[in-house]
Amino acid sequence: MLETLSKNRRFVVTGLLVFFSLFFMGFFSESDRLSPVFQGLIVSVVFFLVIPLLYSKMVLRESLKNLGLQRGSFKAGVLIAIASVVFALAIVITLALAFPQFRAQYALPALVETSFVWFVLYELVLVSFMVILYEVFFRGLVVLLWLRDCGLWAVFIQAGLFFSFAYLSQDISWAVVPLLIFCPLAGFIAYRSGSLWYSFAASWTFLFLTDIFFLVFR
Amino acid sequence: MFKRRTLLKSTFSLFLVLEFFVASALPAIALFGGGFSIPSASQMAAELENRYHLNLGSIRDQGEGFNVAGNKALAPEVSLFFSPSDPKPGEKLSAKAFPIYFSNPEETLYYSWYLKRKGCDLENNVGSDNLCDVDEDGDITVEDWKIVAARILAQNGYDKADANYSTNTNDNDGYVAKYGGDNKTNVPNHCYIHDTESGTNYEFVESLSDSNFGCADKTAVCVAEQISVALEEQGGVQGFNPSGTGEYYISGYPTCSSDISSCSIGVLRCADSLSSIATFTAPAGTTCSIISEADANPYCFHFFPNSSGNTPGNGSFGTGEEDFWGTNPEDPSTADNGNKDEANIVGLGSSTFTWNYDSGDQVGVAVEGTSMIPTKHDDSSYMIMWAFPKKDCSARDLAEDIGSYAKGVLGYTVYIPAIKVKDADLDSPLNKCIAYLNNDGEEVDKNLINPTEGGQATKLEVGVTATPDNPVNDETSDKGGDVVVVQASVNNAQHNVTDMLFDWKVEISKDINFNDKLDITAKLRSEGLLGNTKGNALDTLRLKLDIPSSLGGGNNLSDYLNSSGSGYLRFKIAVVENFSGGAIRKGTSDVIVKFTSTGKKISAYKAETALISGVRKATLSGATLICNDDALDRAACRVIKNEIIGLRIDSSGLLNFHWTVNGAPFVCSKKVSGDCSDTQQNNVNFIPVAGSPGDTYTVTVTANDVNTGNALTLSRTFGVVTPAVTLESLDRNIVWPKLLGQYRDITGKVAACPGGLCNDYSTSMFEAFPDSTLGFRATFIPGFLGDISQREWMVDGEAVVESGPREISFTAGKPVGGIYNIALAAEVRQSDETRRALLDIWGISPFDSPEINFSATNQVQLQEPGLVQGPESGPRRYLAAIVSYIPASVMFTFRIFLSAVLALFALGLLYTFLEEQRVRAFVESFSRKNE
Repeated sequence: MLETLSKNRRFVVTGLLVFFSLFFMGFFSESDRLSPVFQGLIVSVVFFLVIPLLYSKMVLRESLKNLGLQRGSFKAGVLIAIASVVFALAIVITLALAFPQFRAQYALPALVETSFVWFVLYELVLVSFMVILYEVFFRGLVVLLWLRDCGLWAVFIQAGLFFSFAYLSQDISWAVVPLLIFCPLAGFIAYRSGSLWYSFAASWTFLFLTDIFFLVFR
Repeated sequence: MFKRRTLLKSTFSLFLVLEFFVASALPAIALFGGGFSIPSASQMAAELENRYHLNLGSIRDQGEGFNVAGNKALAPEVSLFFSPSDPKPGEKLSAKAFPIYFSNPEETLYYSWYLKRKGCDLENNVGSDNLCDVDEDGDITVEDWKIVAARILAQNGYDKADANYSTNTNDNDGYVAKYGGDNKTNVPNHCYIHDTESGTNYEFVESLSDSNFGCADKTAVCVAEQISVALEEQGGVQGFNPSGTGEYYISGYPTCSSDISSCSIGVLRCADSLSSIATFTAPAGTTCSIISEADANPYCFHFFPNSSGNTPGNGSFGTGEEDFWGTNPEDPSTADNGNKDEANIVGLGSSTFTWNYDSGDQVGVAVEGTSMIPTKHDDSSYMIMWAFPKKDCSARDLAEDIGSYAKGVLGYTVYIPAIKVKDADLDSPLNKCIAYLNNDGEEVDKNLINPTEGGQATKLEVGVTATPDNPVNDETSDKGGDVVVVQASVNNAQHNVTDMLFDWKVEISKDINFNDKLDITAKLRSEGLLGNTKGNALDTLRLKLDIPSSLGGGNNLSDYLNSSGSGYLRFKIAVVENFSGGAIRKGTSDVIVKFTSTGKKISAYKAETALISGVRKATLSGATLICNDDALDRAACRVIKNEIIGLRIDSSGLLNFHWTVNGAPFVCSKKVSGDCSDTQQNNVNFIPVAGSPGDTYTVTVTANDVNTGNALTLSRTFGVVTPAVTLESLDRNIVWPKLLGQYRDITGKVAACPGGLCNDYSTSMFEAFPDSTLGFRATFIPGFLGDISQREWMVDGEAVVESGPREISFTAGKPVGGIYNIALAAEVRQSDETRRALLDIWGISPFDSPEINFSATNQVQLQEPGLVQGPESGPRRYLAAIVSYIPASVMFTFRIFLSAVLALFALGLLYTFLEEQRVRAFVESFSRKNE
């Protein structure tokens, strides 16, 4: 038993870290003394960004390349990213046409909808920031570092984790549908390219075009 | 004045010159030209008048004034000012003399001060050891007063006990006084006394006995009609025709010119005396004879203090005089004021006199100097005169004989008014201007001044007012009695109220005459109903009329109330105005206030309504008594808008009710309620609360006592408030208010502040332990709203059913750190019946009485039992303080990172533990042990 654990200790310990992080995120209790936004931001940064990086460097003592912070396969990354964005956009457009409530509930902040400057800042800063968090944790830590040996299953497992996380946090709504749609695609991009940068660029582009689509056609 | 006189002289001279010309023909022709003629003087004058536009009327006026101009001359005067103006005994008091109408400078005048100490009245034959008889001549005279003052001036604090008068030393401190002032050298001396009535200046002469106006041994005077002097017309007063029985006065003294006597004012009469009760008779004839200057022998003198062998101002100031005056025989200026000792004795330039004042001291000064009035003598002399502070020195006070003497001046006979003093007064002729003993031996003061004169002795005029008019006393513990404000005012005070002492007393009696009274000042103070009663600036007194039934000392309040429950309070005030010299002025006053102390009160009800003949009316039947639960509501009943408040007092023993609201009559008729009457007011009334929050209604009912007929007045105040509700813990041991901090009690009056530190608790934040039963009660303002309001309790947004009237209870199921938000939303709406009654009785529209919503929220934080403790002490106290100042965001971030590090550490430890070699070694080691 111990020998088996020892042989798979990287997989086991990383898995524990993933589940601990998700558990902490899901059951984190907010304090009424601070803004919930601030608290969510701090916790997300710590558990989706800082911990994966520190874990990779300090515990596993591995290069961050294993976390996907590398150039990877440029050709595969770009091609799959473009295809994924187009495919995901098609799904979004289809859903938007089929479900009016999708168009209605996918709402951007009022300030972003009414001010171009705020829209640009929103897309470049906030969306980018959130995408980085998801990419590092789900694509980097889960797909590339933890489940690499599982092959293509890693993509689906991380998608399942993401869906479960969203479900358990009672945050499933039309507003997170684009994230759910692109989650397996981003995992596939990262899996095929071995890098987070392409999935990050594809995710951001997809979310950016989705926002524009809803701003324009709603 | 001088310009006018010069003008008169010039005009007169001009007439003389013109008369000279017009009396001569040639000059007249030369002057006027034309034919030869001799114009008359009147014609010439007329011509001149026309030529120079002279008006005869004006000239006549000038001439008439010119005739008496000599009597209008300004005689010297002196005024005294004291510093301080309100001296106290023993204090240094300075008297400053301000002489005017002297021709010489102040510093060259002789100031003869005199000080009459208390008890040193004029008296003869007082013996040899009388302290007031300082010259030891056996009599207390004005000279003694002058000597006392002169010694003070000359010694200036020097103690003669230090001097050695046994050795004859010559310190060259003699001084020769000059008549009329120190600067009068080689000027003829003529001393005069100014008669303040006639304005005539009389020269002092040694004899007038040879003057004869046909009055034999009487004094020839001029008499005019006036008051206060009785005229005896016996013997036939020829040429004098008084109207009826009028009274007359001495207007002056006759002159004798060419053996003919004449008076400028009045007629010549012979007076048996020069007093105000003189009897006048006609002279023997109209002829007269007058004494010459040589026989009259004018003389001059000083008013210096005099004593046998100690004549001041003679240039000789030997050791004997030094001893007498108390000066230093070895110091030429004992007073160190630049004057020689003898010059100080005569008062040279001593315009200020300072001494240790004693109550009863009187002081004065006679200033000798040269006036600005020229004499008629053909020399450079001006009249030497004296000024007295009260100007109370008339020639007739001094004279034995008054008349005039003749003197040839520039070829003319000039008659100079003169006065001869009595032989007994020759040594000091002016002492009678200070004081003298009359024929009855009584002292007559003339120019003595009391330094405290000036009105300080008058009584203070104190006024006292009190409000309200009919206050009500509350004997009960409610302490809802009125506040009586008594205000004192002082009309004629010289100082501000801050410099006045107010002393209040409060007395109580059952009758307004206070025949049976009791001073309850101390009792009121002990009960805290009265503040300070004695102190400066205490011109306002406030009495809370919560006088208890027992007044102490076996006295009961009921003993000082009449049968109708009324009594009288008398507020007595004594005001004392203090002056720095110890003098005081007092004033007293009082005001009587009738008050009522009775068990009867105006009871307030939330009125019910009844439909009578299709009209909704108010009624007390079934009405709920309100404003009777706590002292605050009993004192000022809190009501809300659109209530109908029913009022009732116990009618037993009372009749003739009269209701007012805010001073205006308020009538309750059958239209308002069936409880009322159309014929007369009874003990019931109803008021609609139509005002807005903040308004007050003061309801007053006056009724007569059946037995005594005395009026009984009761009042009650209603305040319109905005409905409010607060949430309070049912059990503070379970749910307690959150401790916000501590504050230091600087008053020392808060009992629950150990060590002076008081806990400050929140009224909306509470704390409790998890799993405890949290209970809250709603407290409404006004209190009766609790019964009529509709309430909805919410705990964390969920409705909760009341567990009791206005109470909820629930179990705190949240973990430590959990928070419960408790809210109560209340709605108060007058019933439709009440709104209808408001409309039917007073015409208040239902649209003006909508529902009123109000709410209250509280928050309960669940605490860890172990963490609930008192204030930290020691280092933990400071650490806790530091932590409390760190921003919550920093603490939160720190905690999250700490959690992350802990997780990484644990995972790292596990990862290291699961290293293959270690596991293999561990398994092998474990296997060997088992083997």
